[in-house]
Amino acid sequence: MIWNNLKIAVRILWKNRLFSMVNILSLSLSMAVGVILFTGLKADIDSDHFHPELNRLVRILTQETKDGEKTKWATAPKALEAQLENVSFVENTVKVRLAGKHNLQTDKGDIPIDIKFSEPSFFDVFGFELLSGNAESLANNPSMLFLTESTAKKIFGLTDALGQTVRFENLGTYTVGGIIKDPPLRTHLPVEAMLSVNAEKILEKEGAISDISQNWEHFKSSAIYIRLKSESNLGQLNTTLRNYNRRLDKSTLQFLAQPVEDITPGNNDIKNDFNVGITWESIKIQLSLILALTLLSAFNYISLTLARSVSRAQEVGIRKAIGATRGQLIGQFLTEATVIAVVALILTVPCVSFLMDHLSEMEVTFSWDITLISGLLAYAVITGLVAGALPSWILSAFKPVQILRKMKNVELFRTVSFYKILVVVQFSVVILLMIQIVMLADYEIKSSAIIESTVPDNVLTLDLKGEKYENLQNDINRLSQVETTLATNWYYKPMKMGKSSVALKDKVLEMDYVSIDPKTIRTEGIRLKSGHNFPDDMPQSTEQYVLVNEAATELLQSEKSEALVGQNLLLDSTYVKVIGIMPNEIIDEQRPLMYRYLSKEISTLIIKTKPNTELAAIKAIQALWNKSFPEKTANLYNLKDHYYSGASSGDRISLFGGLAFIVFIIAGLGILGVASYSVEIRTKELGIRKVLGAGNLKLIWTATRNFGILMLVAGLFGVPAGFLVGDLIRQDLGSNLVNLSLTNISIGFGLVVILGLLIVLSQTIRAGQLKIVKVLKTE
Amino acid sequence: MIIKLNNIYKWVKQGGRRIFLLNDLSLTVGEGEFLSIMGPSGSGKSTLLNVLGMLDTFDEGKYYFLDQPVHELKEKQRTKLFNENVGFIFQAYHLLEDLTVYENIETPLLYKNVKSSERKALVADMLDRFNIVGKKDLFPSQLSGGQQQLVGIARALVIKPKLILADEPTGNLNSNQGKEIMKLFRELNKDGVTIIQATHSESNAEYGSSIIHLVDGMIKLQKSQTL
Repeated sequence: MIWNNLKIAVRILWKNRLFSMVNILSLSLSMAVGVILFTGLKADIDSDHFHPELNRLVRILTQETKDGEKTKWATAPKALEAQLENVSFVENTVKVRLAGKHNLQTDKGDIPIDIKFSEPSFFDVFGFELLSGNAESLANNPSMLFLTESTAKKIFGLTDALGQTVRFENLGTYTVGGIIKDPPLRTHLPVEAMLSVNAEKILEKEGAISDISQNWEHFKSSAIYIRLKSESNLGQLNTTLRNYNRRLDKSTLQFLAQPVEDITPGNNDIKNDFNVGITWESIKIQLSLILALTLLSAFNYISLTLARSVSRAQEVGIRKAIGATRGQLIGQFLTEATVIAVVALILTVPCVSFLMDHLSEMEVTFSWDITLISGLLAYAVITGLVAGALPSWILSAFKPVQILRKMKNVELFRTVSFYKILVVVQFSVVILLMIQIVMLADYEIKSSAIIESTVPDNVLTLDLKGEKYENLQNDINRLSQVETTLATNWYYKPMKMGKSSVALKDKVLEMDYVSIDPKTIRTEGIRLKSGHNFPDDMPQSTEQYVLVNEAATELLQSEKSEALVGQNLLLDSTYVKVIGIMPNEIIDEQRPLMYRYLSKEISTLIIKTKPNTELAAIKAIQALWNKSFPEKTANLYNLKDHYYSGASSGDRISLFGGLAFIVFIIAGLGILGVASYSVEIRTKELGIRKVLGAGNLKLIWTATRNFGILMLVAGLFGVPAGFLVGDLIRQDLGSNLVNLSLTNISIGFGLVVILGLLIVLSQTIRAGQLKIVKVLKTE
Repeated sequence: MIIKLNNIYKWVKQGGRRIFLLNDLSLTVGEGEFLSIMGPSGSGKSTLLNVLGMLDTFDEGKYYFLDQPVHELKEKQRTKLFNENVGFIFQAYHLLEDLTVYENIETPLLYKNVKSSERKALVADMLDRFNIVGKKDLFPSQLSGGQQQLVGIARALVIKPKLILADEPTGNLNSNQGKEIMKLFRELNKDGVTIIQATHSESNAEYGSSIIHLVDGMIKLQKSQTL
């Protein structure tokens, strides 16, 4: 029976090739997204499964109680490890200092590399393997460094990394003494470079990194892992950990054991778990996305199958008359749907690589194994069953007598106008997404226009990297290519912000601030809204004056009429006077901001060069930098290029663009199929209209009109939904340039309608080419 | 007795009034009988056949099929009783367009879950009997009307039904082809198959062992004849 169903399914699909193509394409596209998401999910769920004895590995969590609030941290005080080493059921322990990114200096500039400090037992407890070098040397030689394969390749390319020296900003020089094999699976503890615990001690002593070894309070950058003698010791370990509860000045610390197996999918309640990967929430979101896309393309199958129900009805009648039960018919229709989905699976693979090439968010690696292939097949079969369920239920319910009686009750089936709902649902989603794209594109255009008009071309920015800048600034000022320099953390937009508490009368709030060169306002010719600029004789040591922007003014003023200029604010613990108000509009700054002069916090030099001297200036400035700070690399950029590269909404455009593209193709395919079928079943009606004297354009209009109405109905849902989502994005971006105007919404909606109707027209155009003789003949 | 109808009524409502399709119809058909139902268009021939074949329901009355009270059976039981004992032949042949001759004949057996080897033997028998072995891999659209109806008859017979219901079986055929089919029916009947046919044609009706005339859903005339 199954074989027979398959044979029939293949024949029927081949006979209705357009219908099958539409379904296969839209299913394969939605399945491609599904496959990518599933593969990503699998990689995340398989995290850390390469460690031997995984079931016996635990990580120590710290639960901090502060002001009655409990917070869990993925890190633990290093000092705790020593206490656990000798516990009877503990087989081995390892402590890892998570030092974060440090700049590795190369001829081509800095490469930020993640550094971990650890000990030889790291390679015993975990499944990380050394390709070369000896784990023990990590204990003996403080100037030795291990790199992972991929990091070594990133730094040295194809050259053998072993024995090479590398230099880290602030941390000194090390020799590569071992290469760590890249782990076969994702891990919550990714390694790029590993230094020894001895190196850590030396650096702590030198003050290059903070001293955390003995201090229980500093538990937020070190992790402790334990291999138990048996999985069943977990409870005992938790009991033992209670002995080490610590009461500190402001908080209490308790410790808990977490099996390494349970780390991923992550838990949002645990802080400092930076590489935990996916969380349960995002698993849920991704699964709903897969479901939504599958349903959208399953809808195509449903609507097209039901649209064809007129022709299938007779078949159902005959089959029932010759003895088929309803169950057998459902089986046959489900087989057809499943065959479509399985064929779609073959097309899914090229779709996957297409999507990965074109959408940056979708990047996965495949390993073709039996699990993947059977997983994909199962996915296809489930998709087929989902798509086939409703049509097979409806089709199999036809009564043979209705059909075989030659009654003209075909109209009965035409009322199953499921496809109308479908077109509306699909196109509402497309309209929603398209409105976001138009809105974000408009935002991009406007903000680049503002950057273009306000930020001058010949401005360089130099990252000061925490160094004292006064001498360097003087030297740079003396260069012949340089016009002016400013030492500031704000140049049309904040480059580094701080936060402080602000009190005015009974109002206390937290507000962002930037440290600004007092000369900035004057050199740049910025016109203040009210008040005046910092005085020329600003004292460096004590802060007396502050500027605020309009947004901050609004927050601080109790009443509109009240003038803020001249009032005293309590900034943290000093009183400062508001002397002027900056306009909001400069590069669309909408958040409340204070402009202070704190020379110690300055992190950037803004250097205006004379026209056509930029390259010479860069060379000269680099030379000056290297002379002053030979151990650090100069990070010097053209400011405008830098602004452009940090596009804020580009990611969103590509995300919405990608989604809209997929949904539009699915919806477009659906409407293509329905339109084609609608022309077919209306041939007779259209033929009669032609005989009665309808012109070709009129006929095309007759065939197209209904779809136009459906699009308008889709707009009734899609436009308000698009407005709501757009408003959320506008709030998120916090910019007045995000414009949900009638124009933008109309462009988004109009584009969808035009594209949709073009697809419909590609089919309904046939209505104008009807040959009456032919139509009459078939009748 | 294969069929016994007692005072069967079937009606549709039109503008609040009942239009009777079958009106107080009583009928018995014995095993091995060949009954022709005649009557003008709209007299209820097809409705009667559909009721007899349990494709359609009736509103009042009692129907016994092989002594089982059809009017009391649930839909599933009715379908089962019908599937096992009745073969249907249609005026428009109603072959499945996407299946070959062989597969069309095989399909009823598939629905009865007959084993593959047995299926092959039964289908081969039918192809042989109707001389269509050479056409077994053709699709219905490649056959003439007469050939299609042969396939239709083979498909109805393959499950070895006790009763064949034929609704204007020669209506779409030319007179020669029609005669061939009627002769075939007579032979089948001789072999013991009970046949009920609905027909417009006097000459076709003559092949039956008894004839009833329907007018407005009522039997107006009933006669038996010896062949």
